[in-house]
Amino acid sequence: MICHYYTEPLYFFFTSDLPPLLYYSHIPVSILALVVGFFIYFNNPKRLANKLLFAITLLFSNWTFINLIAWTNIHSDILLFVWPYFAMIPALIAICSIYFIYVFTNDKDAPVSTKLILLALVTPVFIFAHTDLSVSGFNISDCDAFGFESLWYNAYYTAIGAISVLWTSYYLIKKYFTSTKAFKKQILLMGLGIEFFLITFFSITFIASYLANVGLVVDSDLEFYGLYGMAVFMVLISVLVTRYDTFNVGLIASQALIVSLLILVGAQVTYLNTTKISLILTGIAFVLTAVIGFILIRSVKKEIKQKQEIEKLAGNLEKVNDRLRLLDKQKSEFVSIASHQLRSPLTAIRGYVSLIEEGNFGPVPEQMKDALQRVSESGKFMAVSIDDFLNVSRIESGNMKYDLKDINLREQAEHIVEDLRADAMKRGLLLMFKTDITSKGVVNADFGKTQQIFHNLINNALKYTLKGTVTVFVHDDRAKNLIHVEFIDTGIGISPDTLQKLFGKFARAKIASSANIMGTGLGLFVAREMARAMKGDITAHSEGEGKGSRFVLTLPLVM
Amino acid sequence: MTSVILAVVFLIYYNYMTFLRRNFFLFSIILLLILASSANYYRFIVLGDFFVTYEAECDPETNSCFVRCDDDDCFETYNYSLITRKANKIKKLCGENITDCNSALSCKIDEINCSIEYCNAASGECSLPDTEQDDIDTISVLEKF
Repeated sequence: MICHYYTEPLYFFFTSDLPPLLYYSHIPVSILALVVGFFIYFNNPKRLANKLLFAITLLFSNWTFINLIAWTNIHSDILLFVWPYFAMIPALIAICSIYFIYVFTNDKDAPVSTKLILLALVTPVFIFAHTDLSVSGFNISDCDAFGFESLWYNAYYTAIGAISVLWTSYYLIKKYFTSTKAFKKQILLMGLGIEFFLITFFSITFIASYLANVGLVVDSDLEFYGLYGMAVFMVLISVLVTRYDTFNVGLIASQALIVSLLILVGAQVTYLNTTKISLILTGIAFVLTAVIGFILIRSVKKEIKQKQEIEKLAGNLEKVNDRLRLLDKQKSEFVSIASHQLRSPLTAIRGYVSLIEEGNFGPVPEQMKDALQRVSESGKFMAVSIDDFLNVSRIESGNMKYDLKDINLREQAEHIVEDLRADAMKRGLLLMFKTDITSKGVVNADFGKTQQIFHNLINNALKYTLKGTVTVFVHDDRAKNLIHVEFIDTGIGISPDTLQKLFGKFARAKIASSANIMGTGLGLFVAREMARAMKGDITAHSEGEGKGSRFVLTLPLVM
Repeated sequence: MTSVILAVVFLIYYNYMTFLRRNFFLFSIILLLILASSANYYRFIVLGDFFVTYEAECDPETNSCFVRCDDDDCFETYNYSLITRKANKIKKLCGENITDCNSALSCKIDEINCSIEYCNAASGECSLPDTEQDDIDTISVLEKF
């Protein structure tokens, strides 16, 4: 029996007297769903969540295909054969959605009991599909079966849809409160997508079917809008894939998106008036989308390639870093052992030289005195160097011990200045001490370490100052509860380049070598590390070479 | 030899059952789909066991007919009644197209499941027979033969 008021469709379901929105709502959305579902499935076919999402998109596409047949076909027997699928497919979509969300949120298969409940829910829809409970007849005049549908049957499969909305919401909300921040965002996006799809799909198709059943609407366009929920769902799935999954999926998703966009634009041809202008405009839009899509995919590919290269380099760098750390540790151990082995004989050498100089082994001939003094000075420098090496080794291995006590830093600075004043005078320099503090100048620090810092900074100032003065200036900042000890000299100064790397290991001013000033380049590094370990710092300032320099030791005040 | 065959059979059976157990959800749905589709096909395509409703000519002088406009300005109207009968019956009488089939316009005397529905007030605008125009507003007649 054919609907004689209607014409036979062209190419199975193309007729001119149907609303254009029919094709625009069905074909592109269906292809979009298939493309996204297909690519996600083939990216990782073994993953259950991918399989279920693919199943949902496949079922949805089948539903739209059957819906198009129902809208366009004129054979009553064919139409009635497909009519029960309007109940069976939505019921399957509903249970697959529940199953999918369970797997997505728990990352494991659903329990057998859940699957049995889902099967029990859909079984009546299948059992009664061919009976009068589903559909009993056909109206040839209207070419549909709305008047012969059972409201109870429609209500039942729509109720399964409502259950799926509630059930999936329950899974998503439950998981949301116990998951990590990153997964919470995924749950939110997934929840928005699937709930929007299920609610629009079930509510609008049921309302449209109900209104047609009671005769309030004929050939309603209303149900077309129910399909756009799937488009939103697929876009959110694409966002999830590109943002939270591996980059391979990102490329696939972007390609899928571009293909879908091309289809959406291309699909306009099916509903636009086929005037030359509209065809030209659609053609231009299609070409533009294709070009932009091509550029986008190329840039994504490039980005992925770069990302892969960076990841490879980072991996290599990490290996090299580990190797370097190991070498550095071995070096520190070697320096430590070697320094210890050197220090003992050096102490003996220095001790005996000192005894010889003092005449304990008899009078020292005049011509030997100069040589002995040189041996003594070299021994002293060597002892300082060995101490520096040992300190660096201890700092890097984390074995430097600090005995923190309340000490008067102002008094300590003053005493050291007094001790070193004679040495400064030998060099023809003036070593001065100044103070401007309102506090007692007490800090919580290791006395030995602060002593070492003072010696280091004052000796540095004396070494690098050929003429003029070296001033040690102690002042405090009660507002910030800090004490500052400044070491100001009128020496060779520091260039801006050197200033930046002055506190690095083995860092020395270029001018130091040319001025024949001895040093290891470790003193400042050790001093600053010690100051920082005591919650303080050392900073260096200079206006340039030949303009003197200023080093500032800062420590927190106790009182 | 027998024990080897038995072992192989058992292995195949065990693997088959494991496979079924793991995929029982999918297999159940496929089974339900196949059964439902087969039943649908048999009922609607093979047997044609369903009702069809179509418009048949109606004489407004004797019956209360449904009225429909034949053109946009509604200068010409078409009077019709609705006939509901089994699809397989009408197919035997008229084939696929009932447009030029006189047998489709009425129910046979001994034909069960055949009804003609005339217009009533709830159905919409009716064309009432002249004789009953004054005393009856709407008429609904369900003739069964």
